[in-house]
Amino acid sequence: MKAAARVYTLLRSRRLAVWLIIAFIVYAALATTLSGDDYSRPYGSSVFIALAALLGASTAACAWERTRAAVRMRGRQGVTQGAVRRLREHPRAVIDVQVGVEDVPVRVSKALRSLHLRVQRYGEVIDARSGIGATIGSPLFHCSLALLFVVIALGQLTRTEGLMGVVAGGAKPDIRESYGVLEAGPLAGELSGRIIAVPRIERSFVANGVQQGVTPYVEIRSPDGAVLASGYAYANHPVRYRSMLVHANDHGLAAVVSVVSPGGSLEQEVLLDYTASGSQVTPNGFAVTGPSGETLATVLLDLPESGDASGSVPSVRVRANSGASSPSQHASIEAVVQQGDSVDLGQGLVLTVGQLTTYARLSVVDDGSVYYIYALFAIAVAGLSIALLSPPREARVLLVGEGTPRLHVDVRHSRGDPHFPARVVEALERAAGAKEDA
Amino acid sequence: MTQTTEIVFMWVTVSLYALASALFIIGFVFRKERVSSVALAVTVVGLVPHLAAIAGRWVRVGHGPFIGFYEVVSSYAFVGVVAFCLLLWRYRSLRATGIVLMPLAFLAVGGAMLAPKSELQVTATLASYWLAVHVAFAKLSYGSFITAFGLAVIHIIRDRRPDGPMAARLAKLPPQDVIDDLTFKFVAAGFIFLGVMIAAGAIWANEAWGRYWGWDPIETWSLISWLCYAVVLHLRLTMGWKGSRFSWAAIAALPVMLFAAVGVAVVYNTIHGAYLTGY
Repeated sequence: MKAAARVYTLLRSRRLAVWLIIAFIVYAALATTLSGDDYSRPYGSSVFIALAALLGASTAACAWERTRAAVRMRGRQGVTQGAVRRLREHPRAVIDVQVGVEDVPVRVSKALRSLHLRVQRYGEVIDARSGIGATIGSPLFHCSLALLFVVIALGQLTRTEGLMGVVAGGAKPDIRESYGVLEAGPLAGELSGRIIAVPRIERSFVANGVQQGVTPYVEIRSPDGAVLASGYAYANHPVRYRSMLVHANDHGLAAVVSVVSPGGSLEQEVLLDYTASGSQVTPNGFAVTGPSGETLATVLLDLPESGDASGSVPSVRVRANSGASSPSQHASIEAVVQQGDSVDLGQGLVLTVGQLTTYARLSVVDDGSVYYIYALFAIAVAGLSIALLSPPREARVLLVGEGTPRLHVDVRHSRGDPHFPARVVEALERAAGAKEDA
Repeated sequence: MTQTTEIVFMWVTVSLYALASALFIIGFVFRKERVSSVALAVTVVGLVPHLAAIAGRWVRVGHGPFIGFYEVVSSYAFVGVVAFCLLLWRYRSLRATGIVLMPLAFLAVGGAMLAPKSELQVTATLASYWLAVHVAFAKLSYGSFITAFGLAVIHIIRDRRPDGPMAARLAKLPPQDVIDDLTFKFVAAGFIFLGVMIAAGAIWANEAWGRYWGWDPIETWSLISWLCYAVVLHLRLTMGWKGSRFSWAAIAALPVMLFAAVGVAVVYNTIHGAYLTGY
């Protein structure tokens, strides 16, 4: 218990908070400079995660301290005898009263209210304070920041992001097998199983006067086929359903081929990525298996070295080997096949290129934390604005003296704004008749 | 407005800002109040062709001053001079800050005039409502931090040699505690604006790419700038730094912010480079 108390005392230290922020700054600056072009890699390291966790814990401790302080401040009632004595003996300002003494409390209260202070009278002292809004700014900001650490961490642990290629007119379910590249957080569960469909792909699409280029029309459907969301997916315009966002990442050429064998037939969609070094959403090949599971042939399709599958005579290069040997280096069969033509793969296998078409490479992201992050950030900014621009303020006034009445004034501004005492004194001088109204 | 007219307006602006700079310096050095007043008037007059050039280009190319060095730096200078004039409207006695701010504005607009003025179109990725929010708050935050920097420099000058010749020339400025408070307020406002700028950029990134944060150098350095100013505010609010110590902190943070705004696109290979260097 003592150890926990010590840890908490350390975490709530303002000095530690400053040093942790500085450590974060130094780490980020060095990591970005020294990491080469893979900028995000250093932020997955255990050092960074530990630093972020420590900063989050420090923020949470600060949030708790500030919340307690705000509650204490709001709960404070009345004025202590010590405060009255200080006001009587060491006022910040003394103002001569030039109006009738009986009018002073009302005039002083009115003057203080004009400064957006809430006025209460405790015996002979008039106490004026800023409203509840002024006290919640700092706790609100720090609580939101602490929650942001938690929500961002949960989001990173549970989010999924992947690239999926869908042929025009086709659809794929949101399951792991549909993705060529999939990054899933360690706590990500099963994918949604929704259907991502691309009914059509426009060759040229203009939105709001801006040419968007090749643009897929995307539908997100429930597993039973009901359309949940749909629209053209282009830059800054994803198709979204709840936490799922579908962006158009790129497009490419695809072939729909069929392989007829003595045992039956197989239809396959093959995505033909047009750069060898570009990331492929799925391998651009497939294996043909026999009735007992043995590999009869391995097939690879890509674009001919000189040619264009979308040209006047669309064609595709087919390379194949019998058995499981990859034809990428050495192929026993190699042919350039036009749409509608066939090639004999041997062993009674015949491959027919049914259609050469386009596919959309879709980026599918499912991150439930995003909207919570937005909301928390908005709350944090609101809290920060209140804390910095409208902080707690207080003024106390005591009427002293029988023959020559005077106002003893004390003023406190939590940010030490030098204008605030002057504004209070000026308002009170007017209320006391010591200064003419402007 | 044709590009030729725009360029004529911009050169008129450069000339007026140069004249205003010279008059501010003469007024400061020779303690001529009247010359400083004329300098302010020339500054305000200079805003007119500057605004006309920016607005004319905006209408002609169909987007705000977001793309390329010429547009970005010219608009930063415009916002800076407007902020300077608004500051003087509220605090007339801060006219002496013109000896720093107007030469900076002159150099910025003059530098922009030497850059290519190609009329780059908004690409599909840039065509977003969030671009306007992001850029508007960037300009507000940078303007606030630069103003805070100028105020902090004045505080330091007067604090180090209260009886020196520079302090005597700055004697008509508000008292040190007011300068200190104004520095804090501009840092605080800039901190809020920068936070909104980062958030708007994150939302935009999520809409464009499906991720709100990717540790791209300019994202990281924007966060670093924000955290640097968080440290400055912490030092003030929780550790009681006031006066010169706080001024030094506000001065030290500005180069980080300037590097994030201008330097990152030059030093790193970043997807954000196009905003400054064109594409």
